Formats: sequence, C-alpha cells, structure tokens
Amino acid sequence: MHLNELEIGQKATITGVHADGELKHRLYSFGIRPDTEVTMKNISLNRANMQILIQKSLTNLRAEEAQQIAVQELK
Amino acid sequence: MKQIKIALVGQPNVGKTLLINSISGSKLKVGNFAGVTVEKKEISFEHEGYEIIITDLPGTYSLNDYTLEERVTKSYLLNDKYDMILNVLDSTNLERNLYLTTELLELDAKMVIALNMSDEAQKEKITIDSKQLSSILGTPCLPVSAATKQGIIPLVEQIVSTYTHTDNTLKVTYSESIEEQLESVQSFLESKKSQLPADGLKVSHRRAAVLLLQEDPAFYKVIHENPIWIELSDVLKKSLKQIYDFHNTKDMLEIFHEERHAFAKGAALETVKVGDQKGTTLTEKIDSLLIHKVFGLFIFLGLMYGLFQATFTIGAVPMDYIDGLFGWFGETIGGVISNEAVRSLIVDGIIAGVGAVVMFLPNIIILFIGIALLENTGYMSRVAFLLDGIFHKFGLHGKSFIPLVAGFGCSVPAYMSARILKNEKDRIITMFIIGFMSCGAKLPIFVVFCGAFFPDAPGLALFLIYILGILIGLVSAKILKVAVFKGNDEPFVMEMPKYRAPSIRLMWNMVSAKSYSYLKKAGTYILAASMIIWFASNYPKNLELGIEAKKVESAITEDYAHQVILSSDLINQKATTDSTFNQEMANKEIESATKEIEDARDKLISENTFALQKAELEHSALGIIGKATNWFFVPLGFDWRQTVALEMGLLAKEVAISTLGILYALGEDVDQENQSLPTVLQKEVPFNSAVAFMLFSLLYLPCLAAVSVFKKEAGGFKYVVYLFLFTTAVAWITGFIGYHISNLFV
Repeated sequence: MHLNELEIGQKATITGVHADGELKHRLYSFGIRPDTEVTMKNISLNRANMQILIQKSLTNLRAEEAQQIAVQELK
Repeated sequence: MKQIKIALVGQPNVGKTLLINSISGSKLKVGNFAGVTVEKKEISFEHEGYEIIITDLPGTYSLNDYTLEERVTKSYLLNDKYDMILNVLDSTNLERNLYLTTELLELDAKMVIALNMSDEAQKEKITIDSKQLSSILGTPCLPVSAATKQGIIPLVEQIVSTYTHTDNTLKVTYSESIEEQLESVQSFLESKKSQLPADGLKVSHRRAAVLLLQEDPAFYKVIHENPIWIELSDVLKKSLKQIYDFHNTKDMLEIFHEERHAFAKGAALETVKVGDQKGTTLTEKIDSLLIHKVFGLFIFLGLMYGLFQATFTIGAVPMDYIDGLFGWFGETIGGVISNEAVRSLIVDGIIAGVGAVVMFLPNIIILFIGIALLENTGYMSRVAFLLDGIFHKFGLHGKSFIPLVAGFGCSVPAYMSARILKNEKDRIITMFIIGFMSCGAKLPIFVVFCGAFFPDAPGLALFLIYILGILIGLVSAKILKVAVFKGNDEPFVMEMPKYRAPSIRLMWNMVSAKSYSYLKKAGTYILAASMIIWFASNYPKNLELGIEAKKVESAITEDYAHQVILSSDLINQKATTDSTFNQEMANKEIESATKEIEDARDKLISENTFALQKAELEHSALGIIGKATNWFFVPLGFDWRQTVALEMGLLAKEVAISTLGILYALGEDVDQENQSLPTVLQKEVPFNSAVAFMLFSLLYLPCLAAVSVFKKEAGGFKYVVYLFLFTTAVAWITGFIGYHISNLFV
C-alpha cells in the first residue's frame, strides 16, 4: 500500500521510500523515512495534495510524491 | 571596533529572522547574494565593544540539497569569511532540526546553537536538557524565544564568549564502521605529515578524512596534486570497500545521510522529554476547516476578495491625495518656468512621470502587507495546498496564485512577489505569464474599445478579455513547462508550519524594505520612460508645422472677429430701423450672436490645434518609428496610428489611449471618459483590426518599469529577450487569429 491511498485519519508506518536522488533526500529531511509513523490529516480536491502528520510536523506533498512512499497501515 | 562576523543558519520557519531582529539596537541591511536572485539580509549591532554582523542565510533543510537557496547557503558556508556559525533550531522539532546541525558540525567552524521557540516547547510540554545537548554536540546550546525575547542577552554574551575562546570541541561521532575507517585514514595522514603542503591542509586531519571518505569533489581536486596521493588512494580504496561491504551499498551520500540521521536521532533521544500530549493541536483543529477541500477553498477566495477590495478602497484615499499633490506641484513649478520646452519637460515629463509611480505606492504597500501576513501566519502554505492541484496541471505551483493575481493590479509588485516561489523553474514560468494578467494601466484601452466596438455588452466583452488573458496564461505556462523548462519537477513537499500570530516588527521590516525597493526601481525606470516618451514624442520638432498652424489660427481669429463686428452692426442697424426692437433687446441679441460665433471659432481653433498635435506627433521620432514598423502589424489590420499607440505603450501602458487621442486629432487630454474617441474609432477602425488591437494589447510585452523589475528577478538580460520574443509571438498570433475570426462576425 502507498501513502497516497490513505484516507483522512488513517495512521500507518512507512516501510520504504522508493524515490530517486533529490526527492528521496528531501523526503528524508522531512523525517519521511522507513520505520516512522505517519497520519493522513487532509486531502485536497481530486486527491491532488495531501497533508500528513509526521514526527509532530504537518507536511504537504503532491499525490505523485506520496505514491512513491510504501506504508503499512496501523490498525 | 573589533568585528565579529556570524553566519546565521537554520531550517525554514524556525524563526531565525525574527530572532536576530529581536536583538535590541539591531540595524537591518537588505541586498542580494552576488549574481543570484536570492535576498541577503545583514543585521548589525554592538555589544561589549564589538561590532557584531550577522548574515542571515536562506533557510535550508540540509546542505546537500539542490535548490538555489540551499546552494547559496552551502557556498557561503564553505567559501565566505566568517568567525562563527549561529545555528537556530525549532525546539518543538529538535530531531529534524539536528540533521542540519550535524552537517554544520562537520564544517569545524566555531558554533553557537540557539534553541528557539522555547516558549512554545514549554506549552507543548517538551523539555530539552540543553546542558546535555551542549556536551553531546561539543557546542553551547541556549534556549531562547524570539517571540518573548527570553534568553537573547545570554545568547549574545555566549557569542562574544565563544569568539574570544580558541578551543574547538565540536564533535560528530559516526557509527563504528565509519569511525574505524576515519581512524585509519587519519593515521595515514598523520604519518605523512611531513609530505603535506607547508601551510597545512587548511582543515583538521579528521575533517580531511571525512571529506576523503565522502568523496568530496572539491577536496579531491586539491589532494590529487599532492605526491602522497598514490599511497593515499590505496588506503582510501580499502577503507571505502570496507564501508560499502558493511552498509551493503556504494552510495556514499546515502550512507552519510543515514549516519547523520542516526546521530541526530540519538542526540534527540538523549535530551528531549515529552510530557502527555493532548489530542490534536490548535493548528490541526484550524486546518480541518481552513484546508477542508470545499470550505477551505471558499474561505480562501473570500479572504482574497477581501484583500483586493481593501487594496482598492483603502488605497484609493492616499492615491487621490498623492495625485492632487503632484498636480498642484506641477502647476506651481510650471508657473515659474518661462521657457516652454523646459517647462514641458519638467511638468509633463518628470513631475507627471514620478507622480505616476508614487501614486501606486499605497496599493503596493497594502499588497506587500497582505503577502507578509500570509507568510508570517503560516497561511501561505495552506494556499499552496488548496491551489496546487489545479495550478500544477498547468505547470505552475500552488503559490503561483499570489503573483498572478497581483499582476491584475500592476506587474511590478507581481514580479517582486514571485520570490515566494522557492523553485527556480516555478518562479520563472510564473513570471513569464504574469504579463497576461491584464494590469490596471491597460484598463483604459479596453474600456474605450469595448465601449466602441461592443456597444451592446461592453462589460461582458471586458470580462471575456480578462478571462482570455488568464486562459492563454495557463496554457502558455503548460507549454513552457513541457517544451522549454522541461525535466523533472523539483520536489514539492513542503512544511506547513504551526499557525502563529504575525510579528508586527518583522512585517514592518519586510514591507518597508520591499516598498523602498519598489520606489527606487520603478521610480527610476518610469521616470526614464516618461522622459523618453516626452522627448521622442515632441522631437524632432517641425517648426514649419507650428508656424503654419499659428497662421491658420490667426486667420480664423481675424475672420471670426470680423464676423462678430458684422453681426453686431447688423443688429444695431435693426435696432435703429425697427421701433419694436430697442437697444436692450439688441444688446442681448448681440451677446448671444457673439457667443455663437465665438463658439464656432473656438471649435475651429481646437480642430486646428488638434490637427497640429497630430501632425507634430506624426513627425516626431515616435511617429517616424511607428510608420516605419507598421509593416509588422499590417496582417493584423493596424494602421500606423495603432502601431504608434502600441509602441508608446511599451514605455507605459497608460499612454496608449492618450496617444490614440492625439493621433485621431482629438487633442492631448483624451482619457477613457472621453466621449468622442469611441465614436471616432468606430468610424475609422474596422471591427477586425479593433479586435486584433485589443488582443495584442492584452498579451504583448509589459511596460519598461515592469520589464526592468523582471530582469532583476529573472536574473539577466537574456530572459528579457526571451520574454520579448515570447510575448510578441503570442500577442501577434492571437491578434492574427482574432483578426480573421472576427471577420465571421461582421
């Protein structure tokens, strides 16, 4: 499952970041790395942008970026 | 006085700018980093006999990154001269902030760490053992709060203290596998000490070892020259292999990445304690409304509408005052100068020109205040969230909304506000299409033409023109993104900071600096443009025309004076012969007859004057150029008069209508309220050329002042050339299509 598939309120653990160089680096510096917990907070029209809560920070990313982040849903 | 130069480094949104602005007695200086469009802020103040100068570097998440701002920061830290680094961290998010700190520690410079937002940390029940942290990192860590001004004095004192002490106990410890190899490379370098350059390696052995293992290109170039290189490269190969094997990857960048994260995480774990957290924070609660995918959008549009309404209504008051002031000033000065040409230059050229710029200032200040509010409260990132979906489809960024909407007022502040876009590509593409958002100065053109050529629905026509501008803008952006500025998108992922009350002090600094910059830039260029317009439209003077016109005027005056006498005589005669017609009645009749005759005379004189003005413009430099370049516009159906008007508009858009006024012999004072211009245009200009003219005006190059700001923001003259070619092509093609399509509707 990938980050962009989560619904508002769902929590998950990141299992992998399958992005390339620059994007991967940027995601990591936001704390978006394997073994980190993430919560989906808000989704924009057409699911184009997503607001997530990660390491106590609110972060905004595009759906195509979220698509490259593999997650394991937390029940 | 001894100077202490400090490099101020921190991640975005940690409040470092507010922090240094909070130091009492601080003076701000704003500039640009050499050769790039990145703002450089310097704060200076005095303490204990030292002059302390702090260079505020752009906020960056890490030094290894790819954006322009991050490169500027990294370059400054590696190449510029400074005495120490002041690293500002957000206490409520220590682990993430420590990543950058780890990279800074590797630089081996003197450092002081400010744990900012300690007031917020307290509210969130986060406690940091700053002593423990200081010892782990080997540098002093002090809790501060820029908002409450707590801890600022101890921070300043620590800066001086660190400066005067020479010991450097900075330490980053990597994991065992790395440390082992560092040790091995370090001892190799130690053993070869005698063979290294006389003035040393300029860095410590440990740092050299780190750079070598990191395969740092700059350092490799240096060490390559050295004779020890051959042996060294063997040692390195062995060490690197050990590391690759252990970490199961050859990506050294990634390995060090991981190492730093681990170090940061470890330091945070040891020093940060978090109390019981309440469910959702206030920010999260507010966001559930403000970025709700439907309500959020409505709220945003409502706020924007409010902001722009405020700009016009509140801005209108000072605007009128300034207009009046300059008008009065012009008249007063004009009264004192006897020389016609000099008076014209000063009153019509300089004073009018400068007045036009200053008049815009209130609106621009309000716009900048609005933008500063959006950024300082944290709402700007929410705007990006709401709008990015649609803007990204057109190759733009969610934040592009702001400069594009500003462009509807004036392109000058619009180009300046494009700075809120951090990614170069996004910023440049947005700037290229700002000109299509029809600016305020173009409005008179559309008002007149829509009134003349779409008499049944001028408002609708005007609205459609604006919409067309927006559509063409969006489509062009997409084309530019796909065809010109291609390549992968830069990462969008961005932080959405907590909502915070804006700092009035900070906003004041930002707004006044930007407004002053606008005044200087726009002021000089509009002034120059006004003078050029004045000069090129008044010279070369064909003196014969003037003489000829004066002759005609005298003839008319004489002729009509004669008629007045004749008519008065006739009436007086009638009074003597007709008994029912007494002198009183006669006088009255003479009065009205004279008035009628004089009115007719004045009308003829006006026509004569207007004809003179038209002829003078025709023979002036601008007129000549206009006629010479008219061939370019023939396929769009323009005659030389429209060409000249458009070319005048290159200098300042608002001049286009008054130029048409002169060229259609209606005199110099024509504006959009003038009743005769639409009538004349209707008669003289065919429908299809009018459509083409409107389309061309909508899309072509912005005025001189705007273009000069564009050049500064885009970073070079070549972009101006591109902009010129781009806008001219789009304007011409659209005008051409419009010209032919409108034939279908005639």
